Amino acid sequence: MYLKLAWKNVWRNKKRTLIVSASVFFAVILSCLQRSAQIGSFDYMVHSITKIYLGVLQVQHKNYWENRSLDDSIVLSDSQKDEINKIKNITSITPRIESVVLISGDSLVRVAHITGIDPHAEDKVSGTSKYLQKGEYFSLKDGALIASGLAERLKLSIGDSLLIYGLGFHGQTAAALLPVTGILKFPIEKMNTSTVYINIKKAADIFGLENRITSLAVMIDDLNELNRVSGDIHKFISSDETVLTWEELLPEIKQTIQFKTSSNFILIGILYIVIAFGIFGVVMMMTLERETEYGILNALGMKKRRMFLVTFFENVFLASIGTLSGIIAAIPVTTYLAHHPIQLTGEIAKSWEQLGIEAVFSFSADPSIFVNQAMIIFIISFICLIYPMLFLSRLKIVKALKK
Amino acid sequence: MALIELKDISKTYNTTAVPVNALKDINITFEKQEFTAIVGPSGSGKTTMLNILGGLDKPTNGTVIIDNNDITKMKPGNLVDFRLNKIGFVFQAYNLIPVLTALENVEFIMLLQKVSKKERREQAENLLQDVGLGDRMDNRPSQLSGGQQQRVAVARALASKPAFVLADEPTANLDSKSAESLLDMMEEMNKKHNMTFIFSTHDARVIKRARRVVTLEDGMVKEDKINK
Repeated sequence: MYLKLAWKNVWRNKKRTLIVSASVFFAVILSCLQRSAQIGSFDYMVHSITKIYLGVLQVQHKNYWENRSLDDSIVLSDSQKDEINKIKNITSITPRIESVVLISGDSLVRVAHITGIDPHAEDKVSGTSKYLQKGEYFSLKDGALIASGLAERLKLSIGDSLLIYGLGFHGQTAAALLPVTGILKFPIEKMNTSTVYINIKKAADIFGLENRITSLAVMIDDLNELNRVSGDIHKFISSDETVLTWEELLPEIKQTIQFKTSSNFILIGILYIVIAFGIFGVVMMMTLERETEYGILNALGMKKRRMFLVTFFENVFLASIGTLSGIIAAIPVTTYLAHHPIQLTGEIAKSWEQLGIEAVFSFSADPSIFVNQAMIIFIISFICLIYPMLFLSRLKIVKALKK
Repeated sequence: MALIELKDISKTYNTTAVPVNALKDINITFEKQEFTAIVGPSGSGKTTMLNILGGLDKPTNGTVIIDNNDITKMKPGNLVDFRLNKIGFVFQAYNLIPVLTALENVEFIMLLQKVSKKERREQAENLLQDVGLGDRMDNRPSQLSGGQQQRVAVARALASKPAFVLADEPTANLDSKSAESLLDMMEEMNKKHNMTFIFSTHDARVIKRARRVVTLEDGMVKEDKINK
């Protein structure tokens, strides 16, 4: 009956309850959508960067990321790669040789980012084959795969020759003439205007690296395990080598995420402060207007802790009405948006692509988003309970009955 | 042995610049099955006496013995339990829980006493039948007249099977017919259930029907007489 009494008490003033529930409802929807968009877009941003060209982790020479020199390349034996591949949560690894070169088609010259890849291993890490527009991917041996934007600028198509000219290991000249065997179209503009893939063995020949690589890209299935996996890899590499996480490889992206997360938290915080005052106002009114009733109940033999229990239930109901309805309304919307991300266009898309991020605004339907909103509202309502708790502890029957 | 014994009770309020002596050395006893009215002009100490009798307020001096228990020495938690099990209250303004039905209001006291659902439902129904509201059990207080609400309040007061019922001006808000009807019902309860009723009142109708009338004046018992 305490629950029944609490439920009925909540509806004593229907308009007031509906107003506060509506404010909680809209706050929950707004914050669910906001968090869904934030988590979804950041996840997609990280996924986009790590999946397409970076890897979640990279094993490199400890000086490579700073110098980007082939002289800071490394040798990883097959047994080392096998051990790394066996580490828990690692889903795939791929060796790479990366360098910046001049490339030329017929008469035009461009700067390009060339990467020597193992086509099968690279496909497992980056899913590169799905970007193939024309030609062959898996048979890549002595030819080159070129990004469509670069191919257009150099007026190259399948079967044309591509001249590569750059600097190899220990300053030797690296030059080769390769046929174009495939055209790739990447979702990131920067990649689309600068990327060339060749077979890793061919790259080793061209740059004089023999069995050396510039990095081993690693993918894992759970980003929460990033640091643990990094530590495990360290057990199988020499002191000249290091493991860098995507956060260390691209600190500016991490900072962007942190900055945007903080500013969004401030906005959501302000929203919840407004809601907190709304809930507190109702709790205060519901308490004050029933002072005589509390006095009567106490006189009749109801202990203060039981009265507080009823008040607690009232608060739970008050918070639940808006929160649950808000979550019920937010789930289908966020789920739909999570499955149908928004493709950005115009200036915003360009700015994203300049950061090397695919211009897709994605949403997340992670259950933790909804659970967290519910928890915040309940924490607010529990904090609001301090008022009736203090009020009841100070309740004087005779004074209350006189009102 | 008296049901209620007030020994050397005095009550002083220090809330104003000049202390107010609401009760002065009251010595009085109430026996079982009494039907007693406490009367007196405003400020004579009726409500203060009723509050002290009901354990709602503490006297400045003196002891209150109810059923061999000195309630002035009880801890607040124990006093709440004592009120629940020993004292029934009827208030001037009825003070029913507005969101509960008549039946639920009567049941509520038994819920506090942890009476089983079946038993409390049965008893509440019987009590409401006894006070003549068998057909109004599912009505909320707002759907009942003042007289009917006060009958529910009496049923609620009796639901805990108390040692006595304290009623603070129970007929003050009622018309003549409702007041007479309520008094009839209370008298019947007094006789049928041997229930002790103590009223504070100004109402001549109540005074006329009471078997004992205690008159207070300036915080002292001026007269204590048996009505014939």
